[in-house]
Formats: sequence, structure tokens, C-alpha cells
Amino acid sequence: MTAIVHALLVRRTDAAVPALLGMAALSSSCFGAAVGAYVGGWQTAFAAVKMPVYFLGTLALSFAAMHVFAARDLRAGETFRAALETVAITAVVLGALAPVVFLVTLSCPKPSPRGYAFVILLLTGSVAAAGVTGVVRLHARLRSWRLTAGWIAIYQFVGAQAGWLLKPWVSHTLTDDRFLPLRENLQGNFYESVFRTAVRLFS
Amino acid sequence: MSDVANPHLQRHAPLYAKLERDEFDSASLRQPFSIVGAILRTPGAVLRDLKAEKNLSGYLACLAFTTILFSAAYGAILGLFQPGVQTLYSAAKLPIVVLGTALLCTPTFYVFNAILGSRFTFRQTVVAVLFLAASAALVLVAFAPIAWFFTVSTKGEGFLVLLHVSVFLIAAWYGMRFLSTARKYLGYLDATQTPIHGAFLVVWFGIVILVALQMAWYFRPLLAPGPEGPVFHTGQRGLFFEALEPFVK
Repeated sequence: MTAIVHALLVRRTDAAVPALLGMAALSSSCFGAAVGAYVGGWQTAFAAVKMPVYFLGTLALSFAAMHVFAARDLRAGETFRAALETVAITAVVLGALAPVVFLVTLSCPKPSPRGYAFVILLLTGSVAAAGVTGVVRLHARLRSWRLTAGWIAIYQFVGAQAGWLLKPWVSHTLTDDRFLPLRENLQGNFYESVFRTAVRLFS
Repeated sequence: MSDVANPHLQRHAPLYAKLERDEFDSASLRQPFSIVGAILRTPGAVLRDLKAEKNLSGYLACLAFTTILFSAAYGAILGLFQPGVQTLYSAAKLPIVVLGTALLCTPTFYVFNAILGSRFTFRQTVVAVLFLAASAALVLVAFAPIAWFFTVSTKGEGFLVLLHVSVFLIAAWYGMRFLSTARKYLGYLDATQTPIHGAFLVVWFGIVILVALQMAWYFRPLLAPGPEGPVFHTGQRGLFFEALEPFVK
């Protein structure tokens, strides 16, 4: 296991696709569990399952669109490996931060607006660090800012909605009664919600 | 190594020459306390072993052992403020705080260094981080007689808190200095990689301090038990900067 992580991180060899998939799933699951531990109980398990579904599901949905833009230079297998490697490295960084996140979610006051704010801030920082690392690695591989930006735009576009659908992550109501409030979530859309919020702000 | 025109190498040349002269036989690690002398007197030899992955298991065991023992000793002195069960609790809790902080921060250290060009394995990273923990614990135990003297002769909590925080800061600084020296020397030994990335090390030290503060706060009380009597873990949640609130308001 550590050998695969090491190979991926130092880029000495190309890790096999199943190894990358396993590592992305395991690392993101650890991060998910750390996030879910703030609410505790079932939410820890829910988030541990939802986080890998989020990362790999978003990749599965956006892969075809990503490949269209890369098809001139890369074969489908190469596109998939490049994209998966980016997701895996992002997940591994999150997995590395998981122990720190876990300490905070376990010891942070709740219910408390300040505790909630601190957790959200820490998660934002962690995700930003992981995202930047992933983007840098992706660019090193693709060697094209336009393609990198295009891929990120596609992944983000799908990812925002996937995150919306899979919510709650850190529930501010601190309830863990459902894996997914799917019916309610399906009625909304991330972009609609942003639009409505913006309208509310200016009306 | 032969690049004498490199200003960085020139500036640190006396340090490297000193570290190169250090000698330590890792076979003596069968006696766990030999690591103390190695940290204090021959860090160069230890770091060469770390680079060559020589006897890493021996180092790992000795470093973990000394960290636990030394921090437990200091913890007991913390708890001596109110002798009794609290002394035992503090002796048990401080190793959790010190070793726990090091272990919680190890994955971050490993992953980011590897991304930034280090070829260190996870085992090497664990040993490097344990060097930080053991050096810090060593400083704690060195200050233990002084801390004990003030603990038994002082009545008020305020002064003791200040004293212990100062000792912890010195311990953290010493541990970080060890890793900082390690960064320079390991980079000097192998110029083809960056075993520990300089800018990241600074950020990581910040993370370590924050995690240590939160760990200490979560496992409070270390000094004196609250009104409900001595308990090992109150289970109370909280953020470490709550400790500063009485001073801010």
C-alpha cells in the first residue's frame, strides 16, 4: 500500500489503474470519515462512503467530456489514467490531512456556531490545498494550461452538482438520520440555488 | 558536494563539516537511552543512518520509547501540583499529547514532501518526525527538575501555566531545530532530491503547533483537576483559543 502511494507521489513509475482507484477510494474515505465525525454516529459511516462516491462518480460522469478535448493527443486509456491520477493525488492529500481534521471534528465544540465555523474553515483549507496539488500535478502531466483549465472546468461543473446531491457533509443541524435526503436534493440544483441566492441578494 | 561556489553550501560549510565528523554505532540502540546521546552529540551520524535506512526499526523503537518515557515524566511533574490521581493522569496524558501530535502530523509531512520532490519512504518519514518528538521530550525532561521545584513551591496556577507553556515552547523549538538541521544536512548529502522541503517545513511547523495546542486542550486538565475531581478525560469539546479568552476580555 505505502509502496503504491510512494510511487504515485514521487512519480517514479506509473501506478496501475486498480491501485490508483483503490488508493483514491481509501484516502477519500478516510477524509470523509474525518468530516462525518463532527456529527458523529452514522454520519461518520455515511460520509466515509459518500466521499469516494463523490470523487470517482464525478470522474465517471465527466470523463467522456474531458476526453473530447484531449483526444487529439491522448488515447482514452491515457486520458483516464491522467484524470484518475489527479483525483488520486487530490484524495491522498486529503487522506494525509484526515488525522488533523479528525482531531478537530472530534474535539471541536458542538452545537456551536464558532465550532461549526472552525470546522468549515479547516475543511475549506484542506480541500484548497488538495485541489491546488491536484491541479499542479495535472498540469505537469498535460503540459497545456488550456487543457488543464478545460478539464478542471468540466470536473468542477459536475462536481459542484454531485456535492450538492450527496449533501449533507457537515450537517449544521447535527442530524445523521439519513444517508441521502435524495428526493429533496433532486429537486434542487446547485446552479439554480446559486442563482436564486444571488437574486435574493439584489432584490 | 563539490560545488564550492554555491553560497548556500559555503554559508553552512562549518555545520556540514561538524555533522560529517559525527559518529554513532546504531548497534548500540539495544540500549534505548543511547539515542539520547546520539540526538545531543552526534546528529550527523544519526541523519546519515536515516538517509541510508540503516536500522530504522531500532531507531523507531528507541525514539518512541524515550518520547513516551520522558513526556510521562514531565507529565507527572505537571500533575504534582495536585498530588494524587491527577499526577498519574497527567503522566499518562502527556505522552498521548506529544506522540499523538507527531503521529497525527506524519501523513501530511510525508505526502507533501513527496509531492515536493522527496524520495523519503514512509518509514523514514516516521523516524524523522519521531526525532522531533523525542528531541522535544528530551528538553521537557531536562527542564523537569526546575519545573518540579516551582511546582512544589508555588501556590498560584497562573505562574505555573506560564512556566509550563514556556518550557513547551522551548521543547518545540528544539525539536524543530533538529528537523531544520536534518533538512539542511540531508539536502547536502543528496543533492539529487529535496528530502525535506524548506518552505513546507515552516508551514508544517505551524500545523504541528496548532495540533499540539488542540491536543493539549482536548486532553485537559493537565495541571489541576476541575471542580468535579480528577478525571482522565472530561470528554468536553472545545477549541484551544478558548484558553486565551480570559486575557482578551
